[in-house]
Amino acid sequence: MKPQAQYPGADRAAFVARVSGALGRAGPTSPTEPAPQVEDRVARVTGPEADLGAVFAAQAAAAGMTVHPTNRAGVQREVRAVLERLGVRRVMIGEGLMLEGVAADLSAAGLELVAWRERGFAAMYDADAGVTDVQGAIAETGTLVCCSGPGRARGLSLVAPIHLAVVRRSDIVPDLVDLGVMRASEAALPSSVVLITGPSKTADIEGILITGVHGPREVHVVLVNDA
Amino acid sequence: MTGSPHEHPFDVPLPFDLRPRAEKAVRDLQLRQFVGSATRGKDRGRRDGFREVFGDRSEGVRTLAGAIKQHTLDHLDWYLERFIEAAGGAGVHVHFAQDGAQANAICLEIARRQGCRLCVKSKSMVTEETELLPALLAAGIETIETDLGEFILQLDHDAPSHIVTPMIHKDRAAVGRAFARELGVPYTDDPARLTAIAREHLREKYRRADLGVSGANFLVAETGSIVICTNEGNGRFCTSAPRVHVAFAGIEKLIPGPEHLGVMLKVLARSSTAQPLTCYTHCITGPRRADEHDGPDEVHLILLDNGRTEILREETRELLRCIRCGACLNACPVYRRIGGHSYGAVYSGPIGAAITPLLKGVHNFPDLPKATSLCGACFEACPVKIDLPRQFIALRRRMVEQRVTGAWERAVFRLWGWSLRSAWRYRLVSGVQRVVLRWLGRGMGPNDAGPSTRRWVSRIPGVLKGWTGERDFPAPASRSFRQWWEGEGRSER
Repeated sequence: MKPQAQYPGADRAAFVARVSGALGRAGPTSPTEPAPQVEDRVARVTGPEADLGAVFAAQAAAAGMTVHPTNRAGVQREVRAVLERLGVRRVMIGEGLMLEGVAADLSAAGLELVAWRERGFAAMYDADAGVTDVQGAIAETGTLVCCSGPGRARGLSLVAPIHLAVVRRSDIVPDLVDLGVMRASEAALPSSVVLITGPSKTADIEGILITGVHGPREVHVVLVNDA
Repeated sequence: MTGSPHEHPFDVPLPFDLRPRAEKAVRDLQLRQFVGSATRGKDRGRRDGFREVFGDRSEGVRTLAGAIKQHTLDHLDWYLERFIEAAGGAGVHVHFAQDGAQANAICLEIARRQGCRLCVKSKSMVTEETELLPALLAAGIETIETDLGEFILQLDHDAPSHIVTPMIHKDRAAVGRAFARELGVPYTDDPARLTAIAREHLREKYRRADLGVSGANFLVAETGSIVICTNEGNGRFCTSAPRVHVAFAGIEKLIPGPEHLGVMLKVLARSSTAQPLTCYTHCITGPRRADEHDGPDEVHLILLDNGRTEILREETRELLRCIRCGACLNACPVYRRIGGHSYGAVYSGPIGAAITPLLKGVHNFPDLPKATSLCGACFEACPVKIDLPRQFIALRRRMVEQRVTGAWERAVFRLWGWSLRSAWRYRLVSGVQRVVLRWLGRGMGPNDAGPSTRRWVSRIPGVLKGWTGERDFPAPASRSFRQWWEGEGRSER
């Protein structure tokens, strides 16, 4: 490969040296004191002793999502019921343990499966709904954690007007400060981690709240009690 | 491409004179009502949110958030190096821009190499600062602001007036007119309908865009992640749909690790829109990987200095803790009355009044450090506890040192300083002042009878004319406290 010309802009060393200069030292040295500790008594809102399913469901509802409780055996039935009630015809479905058999079931029920694997984003614009599992959930804020990866496209939870997520009770961590723990348990951070808290919304025009701007207008959570 | 209609309203003649803009804003009753009610509502929401969730721990969590940012700034060179290594390891191309022009040049070069023709942009204050939009348009790259507020401002050739709610100064009729004029749709002023029109219009752009530009709310040093907080979802489209993503970030956006991100997220959305969390908190660590289905092929990050290393010096360093939540704007009695455009620069409100003179020179923006009542509402609202009143006073000191203040002001304070140096000087100056003010207030008492009756001065000539143009000034009593004390006061005990 032939070497490319330099991009415009400053040189890294000179750029960092200026920062060091402003700090009154010759170059970067490792901090003498540790970064501030995130102590539970200061920052934690929800503890592990809380009823995480109940807190999550309440917060998710407060954020504007609709929660549908079910058990392990009821996932397919619940997903189909929600989508049929909403009049969904074209659906895109991600991969995941909780989603096994869902595609076949929906297809048998007459819904059209969107082939997003082959055509990526371009195919997703035609879908009425996207169905995903989650890689975590946060009780404190009622948040879904969706990571990118094989079988888990970014657009599945974004492009269609409806997003349906299947969340297991055991996916839920108590608090936002537990985010650090989630990272430590993963080998490499996914290229995209999105925390979803409610449907897409804006209040830019006269402060009037409108849901469904660019992302989904409705977010449905099928909450699976797997305890 | 020339003749771009986008004019930057912050291209102001220097030194910037705040008064004509502020005066116009103050007389615009509709603007005052809008900005006033929107800011008061958000300010109340912020207080309620913190009280409800943190109760008497609110102080503690703000202290922690401030300490996290302060620690990072105290070791910013080290954390920058860590971030650059981690981001580079994740496949992000990291670039360095000393100023806005360099940052824009880097972005244009990326677009040129990748052959990008259509850019979708999410809301970013730092790109407002570098004036990226006109630069992209001038280079012939069609560029669309996709945040609903920014999209409307772009259509209407206007500029944001609030960090978080950019079109706080516009009403729905103005939006309807802009849509009808620029998009050729039938006029409507229904916000839901207007939002739907924007959605359809922008979807078409996302489909075709090959360049996505965003800002960043946080950069996580340990993991090399770029974190973007949005509500509408446009930011996710801009960073996922096009094949190239370019993020702009000031160097002050760094935080040490993911455990700190949790704390910063807890205070950011609560302070800015009274939400527990924005709808989308997107954490991007490198481009799409080989086994992924979507996402950009290339992720670039442009780190911007643009005067920040000047602010990083010890005395002003705390100003870089700012996470751009807008809480100080919403709390500020001055911002509520004069609105964002009066500040003559991208960053408005108390934080803007403090950083604009530092970024662009106090001699260029001498009015801003004085555009505050020093009431401290901003300090109280700030989720990272920036002591803004202290910074305003330091800026005023700097103005005196650099002789930026006017001749009249200097003369008055010199006289004041002279008079405080001994008792007789003080008595002389205050005596003259009392006589003159009582003479100016002659005949202005409710009944000009006794010596204790308060007189009012309704017009002082010269430098104080502006002050008395709006209200009366109480004239001093006929005798000073000292005179009274030396006469009957002492025996009256």
